[in-house]
Amino acid sequence: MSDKVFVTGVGIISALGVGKDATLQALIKGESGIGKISHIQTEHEEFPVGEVSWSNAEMSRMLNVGYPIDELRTVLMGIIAAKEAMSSSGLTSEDLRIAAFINGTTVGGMDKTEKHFKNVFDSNVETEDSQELKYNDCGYSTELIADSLGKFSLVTTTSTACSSAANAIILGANLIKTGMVDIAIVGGAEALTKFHLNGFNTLMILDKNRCRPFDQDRTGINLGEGAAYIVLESEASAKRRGVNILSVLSGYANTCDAFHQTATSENGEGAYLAMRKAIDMARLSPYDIDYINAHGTGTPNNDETELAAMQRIWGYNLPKFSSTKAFTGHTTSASGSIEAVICILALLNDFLPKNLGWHNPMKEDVAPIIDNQHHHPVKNIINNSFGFGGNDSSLIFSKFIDQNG
Amino acid sequence: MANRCFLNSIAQVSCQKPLSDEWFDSPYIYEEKYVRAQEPDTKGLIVPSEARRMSKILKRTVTTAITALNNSDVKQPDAIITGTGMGCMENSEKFLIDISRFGENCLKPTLFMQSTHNTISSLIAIILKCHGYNNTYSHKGISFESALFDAWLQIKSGLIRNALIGANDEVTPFMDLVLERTHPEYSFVSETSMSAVLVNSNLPSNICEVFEVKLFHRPELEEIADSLKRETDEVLILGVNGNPINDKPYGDLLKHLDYLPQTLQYKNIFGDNFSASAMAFYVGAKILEKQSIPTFLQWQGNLSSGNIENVTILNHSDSTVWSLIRLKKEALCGN
Repeated sequence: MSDKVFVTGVGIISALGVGKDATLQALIKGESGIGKISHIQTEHEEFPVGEVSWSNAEMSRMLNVGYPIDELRTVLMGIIAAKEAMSSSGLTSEDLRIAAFINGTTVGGMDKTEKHFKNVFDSNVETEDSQELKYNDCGYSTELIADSLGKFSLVTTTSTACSSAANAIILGANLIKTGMVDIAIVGGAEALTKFHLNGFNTLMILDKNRCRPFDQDRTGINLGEGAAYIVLESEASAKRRGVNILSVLSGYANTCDAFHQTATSENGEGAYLAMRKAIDMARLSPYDIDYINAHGTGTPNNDETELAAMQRIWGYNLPKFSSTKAFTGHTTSASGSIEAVICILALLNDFLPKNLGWHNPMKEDVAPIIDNQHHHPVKNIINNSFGFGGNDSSLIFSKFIDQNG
Repeated sequence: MANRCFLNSIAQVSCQKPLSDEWFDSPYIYEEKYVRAQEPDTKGLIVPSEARRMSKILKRTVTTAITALNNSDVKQPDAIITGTGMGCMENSEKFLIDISRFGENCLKPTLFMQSTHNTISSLIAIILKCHGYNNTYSHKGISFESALFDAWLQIKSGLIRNALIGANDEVTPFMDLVLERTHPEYSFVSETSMSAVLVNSNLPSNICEVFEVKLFHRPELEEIADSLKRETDEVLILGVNGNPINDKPYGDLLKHLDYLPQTLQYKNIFGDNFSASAMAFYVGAKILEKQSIPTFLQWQGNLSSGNIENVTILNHSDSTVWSLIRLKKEALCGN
């Protein structure tokens, strides 16, 4: 197996804006994308969310797409981010014929489903609206995004709730290491839906104020939405195409907390194993890690156990860490790739984003990054994504150092 | 990829007798177009107090997973990987019904907690206390093959030694009505839970070798046909169901072959749903294990009478994604 997996392109859309440049600028300015909910009709307007500002109609116009995509927000955002990733890596549709597209999503076309579900249910399926439920499943969203890019050699969908995109990245990396493909566009997309907004609310883990990850007084999540993809590429292919290498995916691990469907184990076993195994794969020492982009959802349970897992590895000598969820909201299935792009931007710019909204330490002598760190040399970053069911994944992105340059 | 990948054990719950091979000699034949799965006896497999809290799909999943593990040489798998097209549909549906009936203020957390696709894989991990690799694929009719492909790739390349894989889909009566509109290619609809243990070592207790797993996106049919040859692909299990919308792509593919294969069906016995192809994998394994092909599986061509060395499974979903699985009899297997 070849060892190196390069990142040669990134694309992102979130509450912070469209594209990697807008994302970086918002992070540098410390501007959160979280605000009042506007794109979905819900009784729960009290919960702030991180919405992509564009409406479905605006995105459809921009992409020049119609039915059925115009009502599928996950797909619309996915196409925008995937196209940016493609162009940032200089990929042509011809390159895609031997490439893989792996997409992480969980609610897929649920936004379309919930618009039509009542009619379908009330009429006992005797309505044209029934057709619309076809787009509910995850695979359709993935294929509609793939089809808008071109013909791939392999397309599939990971669905592990909030670590879906991270697991799409891991499959992509394994495909490259085993030589199954030379190029893989990997990541995730997820629109906000009434379904999961209400679902998270039944678990009583949504915050009515802006979320405060790792703060003593944190009370929960702000949900978000978006899409992000990275282009993974083998060394041979990147050299052959003469493409700019943005980062190296030097380590990764997928583990299971195996404790509870929606709560995490006290000592954060799954999170600990994910970080530890990823560090081992990268052949690094824990002290080579310069920054952790934490899962940090802002729930009392996640942040406490994630910190416990971090301290099992680093004790009180924690690397700099922050959660960027007070910027983007928790973008659920897309969070793994949205935060992967943030990590890659951090590596490229020697910039570490702050943990927005943090005031009070959870533990003495433990604080996330309070102010943005500029000109901060950074070589290795861990990106954590943890999902319901204890589906925990960690990715390590490392700075690319050109041996020949 | 230096290693080999073998099927060590396999178990199913479907519209046939649960956890049994009886269908091979005397299958249940249904006249209805939609039949739910036969509920398995969970005694000794799931603690009763836990079983009461599980939805149907979760009970079936745990039943097949624990049975496959109990019958295998693996106690704690290195990986648990599941395919499911619709996830925990019954709970998702109930949650949607509650929202449309009662609004957004008195919803039940349990329905949501057990509604995501990965509930299935993670529940098995929770029961086994298995901290290994855990993943879920949800891609229409190739959800199972995606899970199988991930496990196969990791075993072949030495990342893991073994894996518990599976595929699960439930079809509620309401969903069946919807499927009639949204999936006109279906014929007989039922439910599937299938679990299998894959290992990297050539053991006498293995059933067969999982020789190749391939996924295709919008392939030219020649591309698939070119990879098939008489020596290794004499017996083809196809996802045909008698419905021309579904069957045409298979027919078109066969026209590109330069030999006449024996083609088999399985959906007449196990029905259609997003996890149906997992039953093709199961049927293929049983054919190699028993070295015979029941006549009710015959689609076209004469049934093999001699040694059955290979079984190849071809499946498509909407004819946009295709999969190929090649199972091979291994000399040591079944001794």
